[in-house]
Amino acid sequence: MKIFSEDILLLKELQILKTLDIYLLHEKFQLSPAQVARSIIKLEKNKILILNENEITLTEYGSMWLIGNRDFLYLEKRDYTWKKPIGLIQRNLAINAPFSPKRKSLDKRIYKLIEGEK
Amino acid sequence: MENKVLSRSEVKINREDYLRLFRLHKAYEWLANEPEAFFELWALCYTEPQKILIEKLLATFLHLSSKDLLETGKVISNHTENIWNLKSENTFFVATCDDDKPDGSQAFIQTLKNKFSITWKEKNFFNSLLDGAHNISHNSVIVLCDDFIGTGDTIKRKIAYLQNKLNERKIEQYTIKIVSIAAMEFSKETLDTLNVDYFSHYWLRKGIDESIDESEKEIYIQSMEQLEEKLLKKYRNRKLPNFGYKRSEALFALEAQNIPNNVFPIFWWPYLKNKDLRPTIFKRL
Repeated sequence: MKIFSEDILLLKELQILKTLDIYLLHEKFQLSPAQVARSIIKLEKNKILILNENEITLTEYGSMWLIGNRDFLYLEKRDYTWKKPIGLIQRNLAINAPFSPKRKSLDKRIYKLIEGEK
Repeated sequence: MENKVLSRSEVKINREDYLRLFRLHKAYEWLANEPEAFFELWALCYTEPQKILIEKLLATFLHLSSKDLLETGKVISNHTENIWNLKSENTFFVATCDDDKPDGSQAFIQTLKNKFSITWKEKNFFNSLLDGAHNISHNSVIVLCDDFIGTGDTIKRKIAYLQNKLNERKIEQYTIKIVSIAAMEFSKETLDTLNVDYFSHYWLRKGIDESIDESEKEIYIQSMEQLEEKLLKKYRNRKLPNFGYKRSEALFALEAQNIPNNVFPIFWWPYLKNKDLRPTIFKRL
């Protein structure tokens, strides 16, 4: 079963609360409906939780499963996918292409520091 | 989808909307292919009937995965071999593609060709109408293959072309049949005038006109008009096809393929009225 960060957050909350309203996952962690839906589908299929209306409840099997897999869930190092912030993405430069910064947006004090002035 | 990293919400969603979106994602897992686009579509709605309309349309939306296509291929090959009793000696499956651009009919024929018994060979399959028209010989059965039949206008035009070409080449005693993955019910009106056998694995009704109760139809037609009002009317010389091409009101998509323009444009039209690009659940070149 592939585990994502939203699965870990959901399982941690469920381990503490045993039953929780799924909206809590959005209020607390801003998990999207798609993330929560996929997580619940997967965990329900594996009988770790049950969904009843808007609440999920940890099953007895789920409780034991969490204990048995605690190393895998909470200690294993995972690859993180870093989201590219759209506002910071610039056009790629070709290799060896000349580059100059936008001089108007530079902090001019750096020039004074370079020239040794205070 | 199972291995795709999904992002957290960029904005806080109110409880009612969140739970409705959650239920939709749970019911239609394919929405997770483009969750941000689906949220944008939901955010486009500013009245309750518009939101209910989206829910109703999704309930009848036919989204076929590659696994479903495998099944469709088997159904169609079974129909052609065992119901139509077509033989490999004189039967040719021809994709309806008639230019040099990649086409859904070619993708369809590619998935179809290995579903037949051992007697069928590569020579029984043509990936373009032109190739088929120029190479088919006398006493042949020609099965035209298209992934989706909307109004029936396109397949009618292709049959006319094929018949012209075969007559020019003085090919005698041929039969034409049609198979498709999915087709709109109302296209039968056109297909019946062609005097050819046809078979589609899925038959679809119009999303509003043929699927919603008469007493509620008007409000949902209005709701769709209000949503389409937010889209740019024309781009790259293409006019917004209100309610889908010739008001087909189609609700159909094949995983990872170009969506037919018969589908309601709110699902694939890329520009808003202010010319901003909008993320869309489906794409169409």
